[in-house]
Parts: sequence; C-alpha cells; structure tokens
Amino acid sequence: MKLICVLLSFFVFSVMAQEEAKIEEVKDNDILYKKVKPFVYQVKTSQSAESSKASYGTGFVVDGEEGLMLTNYHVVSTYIQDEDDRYKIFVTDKDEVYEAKVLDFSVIFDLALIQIEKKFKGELRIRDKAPGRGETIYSMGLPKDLNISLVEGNYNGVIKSGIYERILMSTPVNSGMSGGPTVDKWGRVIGANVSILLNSQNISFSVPIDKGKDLIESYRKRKAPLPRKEYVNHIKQQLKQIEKELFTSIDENPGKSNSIGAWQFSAPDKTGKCWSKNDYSEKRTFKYSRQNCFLQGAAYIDSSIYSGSYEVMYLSLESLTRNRFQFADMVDSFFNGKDYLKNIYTRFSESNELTKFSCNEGIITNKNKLSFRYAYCLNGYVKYDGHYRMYFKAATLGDKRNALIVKLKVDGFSKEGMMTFLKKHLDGIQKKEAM
Amino acid sequence: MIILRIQHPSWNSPQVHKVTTFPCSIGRSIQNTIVLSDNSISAEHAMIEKQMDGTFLLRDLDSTNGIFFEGKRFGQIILRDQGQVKCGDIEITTMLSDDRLEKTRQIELPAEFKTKAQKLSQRILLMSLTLVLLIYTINFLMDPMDSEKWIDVLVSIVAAGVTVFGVAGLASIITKVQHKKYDFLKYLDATLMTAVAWAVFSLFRDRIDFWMNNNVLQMIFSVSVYFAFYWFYSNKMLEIFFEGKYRKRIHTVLGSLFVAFVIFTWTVATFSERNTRFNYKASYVYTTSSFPEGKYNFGGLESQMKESFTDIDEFRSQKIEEKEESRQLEDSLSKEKPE
Repeated sequence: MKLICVLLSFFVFSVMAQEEAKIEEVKDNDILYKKVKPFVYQVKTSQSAESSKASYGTGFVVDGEEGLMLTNYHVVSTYIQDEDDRYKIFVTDKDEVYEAKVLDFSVIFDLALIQIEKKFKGELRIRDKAPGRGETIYSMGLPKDLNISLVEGNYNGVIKSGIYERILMSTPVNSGMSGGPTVDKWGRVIGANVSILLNSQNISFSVPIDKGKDLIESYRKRKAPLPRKEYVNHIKQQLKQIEKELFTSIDENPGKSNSIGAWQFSAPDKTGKCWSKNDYSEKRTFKYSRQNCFLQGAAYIDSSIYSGSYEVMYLSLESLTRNRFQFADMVDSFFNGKDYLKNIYTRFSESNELTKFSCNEGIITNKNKLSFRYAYCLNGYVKYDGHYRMYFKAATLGDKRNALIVKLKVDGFSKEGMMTFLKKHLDGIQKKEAM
Repeated sequence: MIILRIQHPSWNSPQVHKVTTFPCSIGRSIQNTIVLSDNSISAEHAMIEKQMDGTFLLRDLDSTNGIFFEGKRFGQIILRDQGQVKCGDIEITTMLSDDRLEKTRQIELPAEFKTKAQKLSQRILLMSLTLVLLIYTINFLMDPMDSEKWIDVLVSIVAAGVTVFGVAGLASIITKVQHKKYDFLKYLDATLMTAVAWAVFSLFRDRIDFWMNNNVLQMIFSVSVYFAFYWFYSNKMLEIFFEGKYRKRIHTVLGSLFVAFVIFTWTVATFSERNTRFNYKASYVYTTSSFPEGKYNFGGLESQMKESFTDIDEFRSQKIEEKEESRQLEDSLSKEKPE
C-alpha cells in the first residue's frame, strides 16, 4: 500500500510538473507572438486595393520610422515583372490597406525592400550573431491566407551552395508564409522565410538577415528607390554577379578528380551536391555507373525562369556480353535517353519569357585526345539579353566496350561563360590509365 | 501440219510435237514416229493419217488400252482443233487452226519449263526468307540473343506473317468483286515486297549514323539509296498491279513522281528537324575513323555556338516585336470600346 502511494504521488507530481512546463512554454510563445505580431503584415499584389490578389506573402517591418519592410522577391515578382503597370503592391492588416513601393530587391537572395506610408512604434530587432545549432527558432506568416501564425522549429546552420546561402531549419513553413520573419526566442530577426524542400518533412529554408541588411544599406547609400526602368538592368547585373561568383566558387573549391567506370573527370564545385549509382543492367549485359551533380539553389526570377544554376551528369557504360553493334545501339539509346528527354521536353514548351531553341551537333576532340559526339540546344531570355540557357550532351567515340556520356544543363550564363563552362568540363575528362 | 501437246499425269511438263509428215505412228517401240515410253502404251498403239478431204484421222492399231474420246473407246477418231484424245493414260491435245499454229510456232520451250504461278511462288518463298532474315538482323543488332530475345524474334516473325497474309487475303477478297478473279498470290507478292522494303529501310535509316559521320555525305548517300530503292519498288508495284495494262511511259512518270515525293518528304523531315530537336541518332561507337584534335577542336563548337547565339538574338527580337504588336492591338481595341 505504501509503495502504491509513493508511486501515485510521484505520478501526480510528474503530471503536475509537465503541466507547469507546458503552461510556461505557451505563456512564453504567447508573449513572443504579441511582441512580433504588430510588425508582420500580409503583402499582396493586385490590380487595386479591393480586387482579389494575384500573389501574396508576408512582410515584416525593419524600420518603423521610415516604414521599411522586408519580404521575398518572389512575393512581389508579379509587380516587378509586369511591364504594363497592371499590378500594385499592397500591405494589409485586417482593416488597414497601404500601397507599397519597391525600393530595392535581390534575386540572388530572393529579398525585396518595400516602403509604406505608415509610421510604426518601433520595429523588429535584428540579431547580429548567428544562432547556435539546435537553437529553437520561430517563423511567422500567413499560411494559405488564413491567419498570422507562429510555428516553431530549430536552427540547423547555414547551407552554402555557390553564391546561394540559406538557413536550414525544421519549421513547418507553408505557402503564404514566404517573406515572413524567422525569429529567435527573444523576438530578434535572424532571417526571412523563403522556401521548403518538396517531398520532405519540415525541411525549410530562410534567407540570412545579413543579406537583408546589405539590401537596406545599399538603399540608404543610393538614397532613392530603384527606378522602375532599372528593374531589368538590376536583374541582369545580378545574373552577371551570380555567374562570376559561380566561376570563382568552382575555381576556389575544386572537387577531387572523380572517376566512374573507365573514365576520370574533374568534379564540379565542392559546394554542389552529388548523387551516384552503380548497377548492372537487367540481364547483366552491361554495367553502368552514374554521377549527378547539381547546385543547390537557383535564382527565382519569374514563374517560368529559375536562373543562375547548373547540373552535370556523367554516365559510364561498360559492355559485358554485348558485341560492338549491340553496345553501340545501347549507347545510342542512352544518349537519347528517354527520362532525360522527358525532363527536357517539358522545358521545351513555348514560353513568353524564353526564346525558341537553336540546336546543333558535331564532333569534338578534347585535349586528352578523347573524341566526343555532341549535341546541344540553346535558348535565351526574352527580357534579359546576354543570358542564355543550354542543354548539352556528349558521348565518347571509338571504344568498343566503354563509353561515357556527359550531360550538362546550364541556366542564365553569358556567351563566354557557357563556353568556359563547357571547355572546363570536356577537357577534364580522360581515360583511366590501364591498371 | 498439226501440233500435239502430250501430257501424262506424272510428268512435270507436257511434250509438244510438230507433225508434218503423214502417216505418223505413235507407240512404245522406237520404230514409231512419236515414241511414248509409258506402260499404258502398246508397242504400236495408233496412227495419224491425213485424209483426202484434209481432215486428220487417229486410228487404233489394235492396242491393249485403246484410244478414247470423251471417255469412250473408239476404233478411229477424227481430230479437231483443241480436241482432247486419250491413248492409255496419256492425254493428247491437238491443235489444227492456222492462226493458232502461227502463234504456237513462235514458242520455243526451255528444257525446264516453269509456269507463271510457279515462278511467283518461288519468288514469294525467297522474299519470305529475306524478311525472316531481316527481322532477325534487326533484333540481333539491338540486344544479345537469349531465349527471351528469340521469343521476341519469333513473335515478330509470326506477326509479320499474319499481317502480310492477312492484308493480301483481304485485298484479294475485295478486288475479287471487280476483277472477277481471285488473285491471292499477286497481292501476297506485293505485300511481301512492301514488308521487305520496310524492313530494309528501318535497318538503313536507324543505322546510317553508325558508319557515316559527314552530314552532307550522309544526305547524298541516303537520298541516292532511297531513290534507287523506291524506284525499283514503285516500278515493281506498278508491274504487279497493272499486270496486263502496263503502259510504260505513263507509269514511269507516275513512279518518278511518287519517288520524288517520298524522297522530298523524307529529306525535309530528316534534315530540317535536326536543328529543332534534341534527338540525334547514335554515337559512332563502331566507327573506324578517328577524329584528330587539330580538325575537331573547340573552335568548331565555338563557331557553331556563335551562330546559335545570333539565332537566339534574332528569335528574341522577333518575340519582342510580337509582344509589341499584340500590345498595340490591345490598345487599339480598348480605345474602340465606348466608355
């Protein structure tokens, strides 16, 4: 009987303790919510204040005196991309509606600085030091246009891929929360919610707030909002910057020389992500190994344009029981691979923002005396001249038993950049010396 | 003079005899004018005599098996044009009329005489074998042969056979109404030839890139091969279908037009699409030629890409113009609207 009582009392105590902790937490978040909420608004683009929205997201106040707000570029891109002045940006609370103007924006970090004619008492403070890994952080925004919500997660460090930098967090962010603040326990901003990883659980990203600070500084230096006419040039400059940074990143972080099958090649940027797979064919008539490397991150410019990124695929094929005719046939079918084509043909569809394709084919021999047959398709952006997209594929020639297929996809590079990129990758390929 | 066409059920081809001197004796013994070495024939079987009035008489020389006309045994028979008489087991057709004689005089029969139907069936057999071989080759070039692949080959051979026979059968049934003739072999010949042509094409078309790497050469070679093949094919088809009424000049023109049309469409389809699609055939894995660095360097790729860039810039200005036009159109439409 005694024993039971002790147990019971312990049980009661533990329940009580848990409840206490819960209440404290809720109380805590409640305070946080109250603290942050006055500086978080919905940002929408629409034809007039009353009409329904074309796109929406969240924005937060970073300077109460001047009415400066930060949001995502992709939240206001409908306005920035619109040439006919059909859309305007509005910042809304339940009752109030303010028209906003764009001061500056960055497609690299997906940020936009906007201003409304309202003075706020104070603003959200910006945290200078980066949080420690595992620290509890919160995201605020209007998920699916419902209500301003606060969600909790953890800070898991910054992911750097080429020029792109994103905070990795475990917050359940939903569409509509884009542009909302990511804050720490004390309500200081550490970033702006930007995206989630599809087909995953609670993997979300936000832009480090330093980038927002840079944006505000550049606006303060210029002392005037970016003129409407300059938007296209501004984006073009940023695309150039992305390209430059990508090349320096490739030079500075050269991956180790990789090899698959009988081939050796210089791996792209270390900051990229690579996947590989080795396997036999169904009837063991050939062996294949594939390496797929891509940059994590791309600049969102328009609903049809993701720019400033690349993808590299190497596929090595080795014949086991196939004779040269059968092997050639197989290499052929891989060269015109169905899955890759499917992937490409969806992008081959007509778009107002992209030009038609111009394709060609030929034979090339690189500095290691390896001959390739290649085929490529190029197209460009209608608005941003001097920036192009390319699909390139090449297959080695002349070997009866071994072949390497290279497929490159490059988005938003200049003419010279494309050539440099191609040359770098093709010249890097060589045959493994006989063991 | 009369002509005798002598046929025995066990012979492949009939014997034909011109008889110019009379009387003419028929029998097994070598003393006869016409020697027929068959057991049903007696040593001295019958005799053909020319009578005073110009008619010819076949007289039985007391043979064992006798002579027959329309199934009945007679002692003597007056011969008619196209008449059939029987000596023992042997059938003798007699030809008397003058114009028929004129015609028959021209014919010189080869030692191994074959009828038209026999020739046709031989060709059909040959073509069927070719088709089977082609189907096998197509499959063999794709994958190593194993039991599954063999089943594939067999299935495609059966499918091809069913299609070829089916189409030929249908065609012959449909045309029977008009032609009042059931020409199965003729149509089988035509469908088989089409099938063979198709198989040769697919083999050639899919694989030309494997052994020829110059685009211009490839084009010239393909066009000439296609031309030659279609020329032969179309002429053969015309011959088959216009059998009796084959008028050479008109049909040559028709055939040339057909060939020109096919070649034109093929050339346009193959060589214009190359620049708009990303689907190129084959890497020359079993090519024997090598590609020296000096000739195939980055300069070639660079100049190609420069061309592409100028193309794209052109596309870009086109697109901008289109946009401008549509915007102007919209503006003018909105102005026209009464407020």
